[in-house]
Amino acid sequence: MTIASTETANCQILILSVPFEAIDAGNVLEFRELLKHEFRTNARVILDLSECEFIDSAGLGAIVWGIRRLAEINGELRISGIRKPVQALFELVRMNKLAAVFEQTQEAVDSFGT
Amino acid sequence: MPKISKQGDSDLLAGQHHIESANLEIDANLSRLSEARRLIRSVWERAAGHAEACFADEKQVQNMELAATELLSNIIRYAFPESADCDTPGIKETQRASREISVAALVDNEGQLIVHITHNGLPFASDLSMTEPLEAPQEGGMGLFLISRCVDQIIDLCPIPGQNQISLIIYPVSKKARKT
Repeated sequence: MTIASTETANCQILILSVPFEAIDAGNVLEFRELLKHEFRTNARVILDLSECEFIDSAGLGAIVWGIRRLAEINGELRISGIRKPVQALFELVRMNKLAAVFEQTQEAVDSFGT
Repeated sequence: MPKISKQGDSDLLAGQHHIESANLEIDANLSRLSEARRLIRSVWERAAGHAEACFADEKQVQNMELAATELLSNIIRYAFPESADCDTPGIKETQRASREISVAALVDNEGQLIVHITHNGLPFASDLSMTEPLEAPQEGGMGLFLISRCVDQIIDLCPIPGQNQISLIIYPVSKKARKT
């Protein structure tokens, strides 16, 4: 996972760029470990999915876990860079009810500053 | 909600000719899921070269890739209790020897995209007709919901004793239009 850090006027933001073309039941444990490793109290995290063409229910479950886990420790996870197949999946499961989703990572960064 | 058919409806698949098809044998291992997706996509791409037919579009193929991945995951995790990736509790062994799963993808002469998944593990125990709409995404239990939303028809067969076959079918756009 590529990790970048950026700052807005209000907070520091961690950008996690997911290195997988697909997140499915075959690699979800690895993905979840990568997520877990970066979570800190009060963290503001953007999950950049621009490399990811496919996510199944296991991958989705790991993202939901990440959103909830960060919320428990007063952090927040937002999602960026979703491609069409992932966007269709997110619409099907109503991901927008749980997390803010942005087309571009910069939009997600800017959203933390407002 | 897809049309769901059980054993006895095997004639639903009889008499249909495919214009493109490919098969894959995988062992019951979750690391093999991406191979099934590649198989489905390659058959669809080859079928698209047949100009005379009307086929599933890109979104429908993505839906089939997702539905097949979910179904295969479920089979790998629950149908083979002796496998390392199996989550079925309380069962140590099964009398069935093979842990191979056969995946066949085809486009038939009506333009339907069909995936047959055949195995000789434990039969699929879940009721796909019972999936409820989601209020919000959850950490688990979304697989059957996704299958039910991604395909138009599911046929659950037992072609020979000890063997299970589930077929996922997506209608071409023209057939959907006729049915609505």
